[in-house]
Amino acid sequence: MSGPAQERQGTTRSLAGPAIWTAHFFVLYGGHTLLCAIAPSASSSTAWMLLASSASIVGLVLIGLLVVQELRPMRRPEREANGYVFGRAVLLGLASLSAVGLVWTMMAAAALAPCAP
Amino acid sequence: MADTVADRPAPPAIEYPNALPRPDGELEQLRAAWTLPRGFRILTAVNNTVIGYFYIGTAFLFFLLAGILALLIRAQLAVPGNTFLAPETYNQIFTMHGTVMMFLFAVPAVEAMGILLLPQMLGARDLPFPRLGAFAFWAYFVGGLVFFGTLFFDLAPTGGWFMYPPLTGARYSPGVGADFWLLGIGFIEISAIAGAIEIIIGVLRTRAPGMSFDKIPMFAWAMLVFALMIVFAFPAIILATIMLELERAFGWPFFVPEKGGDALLWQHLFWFFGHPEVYIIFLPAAGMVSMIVPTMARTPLVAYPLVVTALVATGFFSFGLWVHHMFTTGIPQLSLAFFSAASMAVAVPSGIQVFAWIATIAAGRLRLTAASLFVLGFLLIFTLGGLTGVMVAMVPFDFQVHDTYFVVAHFHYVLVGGMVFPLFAAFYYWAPAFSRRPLSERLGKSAFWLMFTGFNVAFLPMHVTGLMGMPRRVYTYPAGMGWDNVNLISTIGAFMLACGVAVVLFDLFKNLRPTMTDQAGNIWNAGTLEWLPNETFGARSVPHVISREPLWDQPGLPDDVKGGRYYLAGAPTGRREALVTSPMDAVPQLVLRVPGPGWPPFLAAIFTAAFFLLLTVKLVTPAAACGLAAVVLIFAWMWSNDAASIGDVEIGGGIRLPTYVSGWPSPALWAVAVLLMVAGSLYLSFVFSYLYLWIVSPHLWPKSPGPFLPHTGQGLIAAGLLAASSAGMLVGRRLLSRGRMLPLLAVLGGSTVLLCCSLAVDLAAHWASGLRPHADAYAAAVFLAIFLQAQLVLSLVAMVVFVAARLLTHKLDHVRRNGFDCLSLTWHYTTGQGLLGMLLIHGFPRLVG
Repeated sequence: MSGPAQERQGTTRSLAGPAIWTAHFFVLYGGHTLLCAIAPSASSSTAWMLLASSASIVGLVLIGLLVVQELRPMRRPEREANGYVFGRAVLLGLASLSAVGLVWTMMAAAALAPCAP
Repeated sequence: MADTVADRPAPPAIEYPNALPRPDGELEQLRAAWTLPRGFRILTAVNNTVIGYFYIGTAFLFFLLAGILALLIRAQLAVPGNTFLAPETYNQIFTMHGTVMMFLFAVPAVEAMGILLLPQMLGARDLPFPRLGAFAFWAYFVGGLVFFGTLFFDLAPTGGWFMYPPLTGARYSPGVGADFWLLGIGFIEISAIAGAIEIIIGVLRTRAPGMSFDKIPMFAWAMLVFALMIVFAFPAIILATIMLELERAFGWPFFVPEKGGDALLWQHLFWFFGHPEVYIIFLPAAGMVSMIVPTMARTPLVAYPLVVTALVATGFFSFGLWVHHMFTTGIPQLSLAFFSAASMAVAVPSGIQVFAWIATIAAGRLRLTAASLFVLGFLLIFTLGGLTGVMVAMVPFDFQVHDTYFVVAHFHYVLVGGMVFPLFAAFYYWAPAFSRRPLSERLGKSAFWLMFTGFNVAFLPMHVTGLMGMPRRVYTYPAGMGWDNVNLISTIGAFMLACGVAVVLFDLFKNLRPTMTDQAGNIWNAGTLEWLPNETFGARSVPHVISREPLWDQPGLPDDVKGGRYYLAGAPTGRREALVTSPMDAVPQLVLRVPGPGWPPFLAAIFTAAFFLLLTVKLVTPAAACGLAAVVLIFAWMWSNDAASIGDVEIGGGIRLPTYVSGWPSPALWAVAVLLMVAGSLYLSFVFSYLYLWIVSPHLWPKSPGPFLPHTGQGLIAAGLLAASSAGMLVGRRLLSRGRMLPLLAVLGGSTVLLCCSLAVDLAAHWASGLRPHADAYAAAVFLAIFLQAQLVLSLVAMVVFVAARLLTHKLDHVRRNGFDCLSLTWHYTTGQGLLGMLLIHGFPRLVG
């Protein structure tokens, strides 16, 4: 892979955690708002639980995969690459914080009825 | 644990790119290229140091003016039943205090620090678009002064700094006060965005060779996150101001409930900008602290990667908090819970930074200078503000204290603690890098104690005042509510705080002597590049960086740099230059010729400001003339950009770099890409608004073609024309590559006609369906989509005229093609936005009908 392409990939991967958190937040908040606008009835509870739990599971699995992939032992050239260790630390830190944010939102979704005033 | 400066290992041997002695006349040529204009022509200066001085001076002026307003507020509230100010004047004053502090002081002040410090800190000669920086400053200066001047003519707004409708709608706020706010602030936001673009490209593309992502100074990281947040946050408020102004001026009812609008939509848009704004202000200040603490503690910052992580995470999380300003507006429980959770989550990255600073102080040996005292004051005050922030993030508590003085106390602890104290620390810390002599430590310490004590005397009791039920923004209060003493104490504290600021002001007058040549120098033994000996061009040569603190790890670096042993020791092109490097690893890529002094940025800013201000007072024809003049001047300034290649030049060490590149290596295309992110963010805010209005008033959305919904065919024709215009640009690209200029001109003309026809067809179709923008919120939203698209089409038409003129004058060809590439990128974005808009306004009603 060429230098610029590698640079782009590194930046994209580092921001993957916050991007997953953003997507999860967007799906839950937007989904909840739309669902309650379209069908603010008891039947929407099931749809909501489905949406919220599947989005949360997908989000957590993606963050988990990202972390597992990043935690594999480094090859020597990677270790020696300029800024690699730093990039890895930032990626892991951002992924962990994103997971915390995601779990917090998920807990709120699990604890409360979707369309209660 | 981090080592102290003295214990650091010996650095690896360095191979210098240049040998000594340097050729005769090299330094003189460099100085000649960077000569500053003299006398009144200083107004034409564009280099970062001069613009940085102007910027900081102006921001500080607005800080003082808004501070005086704060004292007037406190004088009015000192005793119950006071009539020191008239109620209407009081409303103007508290509105202007908040607005000026947030829009004219806080954001510009940190942007100013960025423009002043970043090039030196990154080892760059200048930021890549100096004229853009100058334009941003002059626009802010003129717009800000006129906006503040409204106070003296009884024309200032009275709706509070967040200008909630319906209070600020035409019915309850007649006159031009609210219009001044809407157009003035919208304009100043545009200036902030211009500065942000400059900072983003500057940090990503003009770092010294070797300064990879893991070696970027923390302030530069903070400024990068700050500028990216501006790109995504500010468009929401720009859209909101456009909508409210359209409502006030033309009756488009976005926020009028009886016509299907909703006043809460303003709050959503405002706070989608307004909450990140808090972090936009705080993060650069945190970056300053992360620079000052290691120097004063004489040890590197603990957990550098974690602090970078915290900065980036705060940038993201801060966009998920906006509804916590709206907890009491009756939104569903679950929404409250989401935003309450996110509000608590953001405390985690903020906490990481605070712990990193404390750990750094603990790891080193802190010198108790004035700058250190301001940092310690910041740590205490900001942490208290953060803790009350977690309190108000809890919904039940927020219900109790919303709109009381508790909230006033909380956000002053966050903003003054989180931004003003670090800024004053920065003044004391960086003054020797830009002034002949440092500021006085004795005066600085006195100022700190006055400010720290005054601040806490003023704002700590406000928590109690709020818990006792005193609402914010009240003009006065009756005796016997239990609020008398606490208010008097707050007023005494405010004047004590003002005395502290006056001491700093005195110190600045007494000791600050800005200079380009003989600075006091690195008196703190700091480790970063802004402490290298500087002239108008920055450092004599651009160093190769091997660590985060090069001045600690590369002994003799100042002498080597000053002697010209590193890159770009002269001016190989004979003009002002900046070394452009790759975004992550900072590998040299290009010698960018940057423009020197000139009138266009200054005059363009004046005419742009005049355009907005004349529009505010409904002088449409003079406003149009000024707008046209601004466009012509911007063209004049762009005309001299994109100079032809003069071949490769050597920068030292046998490295030869091109003087012209096109495509993605070009900083110009990066700038356009960032600008399009702004446009995209603004359009997404519109999509949100459209869907929000539908949720509020679904009955207004037509269900089938006929009245108020054009036939499918009309939408498809408009979309087809738009897509065809973009296809035309692809053909144009091939023609340019083959050097076929005349067919290219014809294709450009044809594509422009298709683009305009697409817009006209869409507009005509909606008009023919009987839709009128003032009828209801649905109609207003549809016409707003067309209005936003028309803005882009108008910009493209202007760009086509510019590109065609360059083609005809042989200033654009298959090599020298940045103008065309920028046009092409903007065009494809416009097509994408237009197609999304058509899908929304033609497709969505059919989907939900």
